[in-house]
Amino acid sequence: MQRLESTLISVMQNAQKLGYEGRRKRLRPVVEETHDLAGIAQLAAGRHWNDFTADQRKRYVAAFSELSVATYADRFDGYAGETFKLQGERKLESGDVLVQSVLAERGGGATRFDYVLRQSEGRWAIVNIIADGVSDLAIKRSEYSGIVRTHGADELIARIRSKTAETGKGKSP
Amino acid sequence: MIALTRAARAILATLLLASCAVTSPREESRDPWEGWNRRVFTFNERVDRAVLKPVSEAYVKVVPSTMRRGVSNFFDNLTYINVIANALLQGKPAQAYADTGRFIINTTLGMGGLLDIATPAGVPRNDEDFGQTLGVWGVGEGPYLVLPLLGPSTFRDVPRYVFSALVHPLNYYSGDSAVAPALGGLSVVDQRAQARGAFELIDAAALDRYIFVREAYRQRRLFLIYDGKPPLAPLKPEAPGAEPPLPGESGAAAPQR
Repeated sequence: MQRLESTLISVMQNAQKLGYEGRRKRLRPVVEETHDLAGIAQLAAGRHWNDFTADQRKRYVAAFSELSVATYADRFDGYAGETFKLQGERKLESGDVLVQSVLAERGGGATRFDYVLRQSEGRWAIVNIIADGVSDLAIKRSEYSGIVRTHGADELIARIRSKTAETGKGKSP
Repeated sequence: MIALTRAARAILATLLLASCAVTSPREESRDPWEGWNRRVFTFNERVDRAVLKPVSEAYVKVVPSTMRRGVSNFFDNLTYINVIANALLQGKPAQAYADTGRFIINTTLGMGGLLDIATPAGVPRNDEDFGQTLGVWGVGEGPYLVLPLLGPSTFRDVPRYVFSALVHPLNYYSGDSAVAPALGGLSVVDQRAQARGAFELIDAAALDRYIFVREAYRQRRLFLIYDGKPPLAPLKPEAPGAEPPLPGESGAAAPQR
């Protein structure tokens, strides 16, 4: 958790020097290590996951991971004195752990980040991020299942890929 | 006072619940007018791209951040009568008392609200409105609704526009007739400028902007109704074919694999 946040701050501080590609390179290993990207992808697909073929699952998880890293690289693109403050953690009934953190801006604004961590294959990793009460997974599951329901899994994978490409476009390399 | 609000609550809740009882709790039916909503959403996005986005970007570029903060503080302060009234309606007299102190301090020492002196002094800003009050009273959110120019809403949230207009000081300003519209316009630009981070997130992450905004809006409203402490396990019956709760959403969530 602390590793993710300290990397994010350092990426923000060096955002210009690194450029979009540089930020992506710096963030990828940290995001992959701190997030259970395969687990998040599966949860985001909701019950449609069961209908995906093995090949679709593989392509979907890979595309989803790329988009997650790209979103981080896109969003943490500058530094204005923000700091993360860990507020504490508690165990949920499900066995998951909720870590509460606040991203404070210098001007006085603050965003609450709640991370839900789950243990899988012996390591604890993020499975959901709730920013000011808005759950990332809940949004994604609604979006993704809507797309799968009307257009199918391949269209979802295609859209995730084109979103990733679009995010990288027009950015300094 | 408490007894009165309780009685008022019971009456209002009965009236409003009766009118909401027709909506079923199934997921799909929470957005029964999706087709219409999507058209209004597209219209709103076009207006935003053509007018609000460029104007607010110019505003951010030209006006220094300290001045922009003053503008945001000023408009926040004007909405504070709304916050106080709704804290009272929700049966939170201690909060309403603190909010009143905050309003007086910022209006006087804070030069008409331009400076927010109360926050660093330990009286933080609260966010209340009549939609949240209805939620606290037990009114269901009702169908999702996208309003032209106003954006995402729900049935329950429609009355809040009327309520906040009724308690907004600008609507009672009787001086120079150009002042109120000018300030109103500035307030819209200020709000759009403050929301630019959220718009950028939608650009970066949303595969379906309409659904993204709808889900974010609903969750955010729930979060506000519970003053930042929404229950982790929502007490609602499982609809047939419903998805299992997501991590952080419910204490009962079980790993799928």
